[in-house]
Amino acid sequence: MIRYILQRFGYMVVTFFVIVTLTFLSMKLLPGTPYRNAAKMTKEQIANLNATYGLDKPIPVQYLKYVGNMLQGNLGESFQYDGRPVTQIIGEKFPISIELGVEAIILGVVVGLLLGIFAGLKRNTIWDYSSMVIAVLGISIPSFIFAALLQYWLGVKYQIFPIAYWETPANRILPAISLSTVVIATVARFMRTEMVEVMQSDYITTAEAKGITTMQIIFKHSIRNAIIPVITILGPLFVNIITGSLVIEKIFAIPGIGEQFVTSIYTNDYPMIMGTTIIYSAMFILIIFIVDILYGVIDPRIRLAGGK
Amino acid sequence: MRNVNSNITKASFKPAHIDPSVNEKIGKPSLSFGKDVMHRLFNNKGALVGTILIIILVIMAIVGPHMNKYNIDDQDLTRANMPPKIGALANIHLLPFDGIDKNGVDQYKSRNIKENFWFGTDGFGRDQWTRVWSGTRISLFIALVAALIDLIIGIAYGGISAYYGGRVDNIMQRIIEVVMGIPNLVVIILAIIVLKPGITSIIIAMILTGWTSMARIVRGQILKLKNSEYVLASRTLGARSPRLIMKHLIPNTTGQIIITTMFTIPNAIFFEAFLSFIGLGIKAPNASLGSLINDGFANLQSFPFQVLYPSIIICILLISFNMLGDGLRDAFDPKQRR
Repeated sequence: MIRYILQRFGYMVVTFFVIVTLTFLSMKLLPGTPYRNAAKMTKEQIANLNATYGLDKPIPVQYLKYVGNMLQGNLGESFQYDGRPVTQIIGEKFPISIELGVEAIILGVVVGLLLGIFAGLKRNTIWDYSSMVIAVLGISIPSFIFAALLQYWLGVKYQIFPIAYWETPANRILPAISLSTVVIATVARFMRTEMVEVMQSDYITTAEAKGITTMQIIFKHSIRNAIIPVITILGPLFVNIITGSLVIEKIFAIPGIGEQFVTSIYTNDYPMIMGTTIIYSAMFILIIFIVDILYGVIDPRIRLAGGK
Repeated sequence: MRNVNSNITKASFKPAHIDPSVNEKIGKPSLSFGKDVMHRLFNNKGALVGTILIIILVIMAIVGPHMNKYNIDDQDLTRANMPPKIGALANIHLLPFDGIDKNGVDQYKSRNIKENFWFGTDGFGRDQWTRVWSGTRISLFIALVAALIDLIIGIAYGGISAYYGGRVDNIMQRIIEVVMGIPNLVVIILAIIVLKPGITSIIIAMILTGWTSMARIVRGQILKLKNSEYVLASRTLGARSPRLIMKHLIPNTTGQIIITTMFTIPNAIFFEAFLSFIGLGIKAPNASLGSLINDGFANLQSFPFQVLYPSIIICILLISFNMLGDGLRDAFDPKQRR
């Protein structure tokens, strides 16, 4: 097990450095200058600014300096916000995105599990079919279209929920619902299949033969066994939520990290783009790492194959 | 007491006539694997509906932009933001094709415009019908090309990795693990920033990370097949590696390859729309479904129809591809039904 964890950890570190290097190199390839009034500045002014930000040094030197700073928790200063540290801005906006993401995951997993369990138990009935139609729609319809529809109907037309911003708890409802659709759909489909499989297994028949009530069978035997494989899809779902948050935060004008990322791309704010990319990737890699370890804990076969 | 009719004698029984040729007769024409798959596929209502919708949308993407006299970039500010109007349906006010905007004003009458715009016009007076269908064309084109290149790279990489095995496989798999660990969103966005937004850069960006899943699936399949007996037989008869790969291994993984491609296409359509929506996609005057939604989104409150039609088309496309993909997966391998 320790060997398996170490191996996964090794991959995590290598992947992380590949990403940092890629990000750094692509920033160097970027067209345009990072300075807002570059057109009005003289050559000397630009050279001065380059010297201040260390942009006049050779690229390998810049790279080593960047990595060194990064390991000390310094991601540089934002160009767009007049020299505020990138870590500070990310620190401000990150909790908002995390909150939204966690709300969406919880909502999605709970609703998805309920739908999936229900569909699996009432197999081949109208309930099953309608849950699976919901699932196909949820997987197919892009979250930003769903968000735009919700915003238009529930926000603009009937004015039940606030259209945008991030102030009251009511602001969280529409974004969380829009982000969670994919989670609901994926979890529901997966859970249904597992439930159907579990309900046909021998130990359920045994439990029935022992005279346990249906409720007890469902809660004590089938759900507990069916839910284990669902953990394996949580990794990809987190990634999906991260992707979705970019557009959802833009639509609902939520001051989170996703919205900031999109703005930084428009304003050529190199350090901000790099910082956000690295934070995103770190989170992504960490989630994959945790999910991999969870797999190993749950399913000894993976651990053995991996540790070979 | 047993109730036996004593009239039955041994003479009432005759040995049945057995015709050995009837025993071996095949009742129905034998199904090849391909026919069997098609049969299962078209018995699946979802897959059938999906296929029909995809065919309709592909045809519309080809002929749609030429169905009226407007070009994709015909700007005319006097006819900006016209609501949709279809001549034949104009008197049915339940349908949103009567040319009346959301304040109840007949824009065609008040602005004295004789032509009809079937899906309305955008803020520059460009015909939405033409733009929506050209957008569909571009979205489909990007998705198909990306899926095709993913397929080629994936098959080559996965095939070589699995077939040669050993150290080659080991190194190639370590590379894949690292590439798969990189969030594709980050790679795609970085690639597009560097390459400048456009059709080619979107395709390249999607391929950069997209090929890995195909490569993994092909590798898994080939590893399974490589030790089978017909491959051994072929090798014994002197077949060399390229022939073995092309003639035996790849055809037998076709099912999995088709299924994976069927799920790559909607994914690519989604990513293109996603990128266009955050402003990194297709640039004007060209349009894709995503960029149309993005343009319309700015006017969502005043002119919802500008978002509505491209959204409907993209949803139908994605739903159809997903249903067809599900159907194909069940048809090729009924066992792994999800």
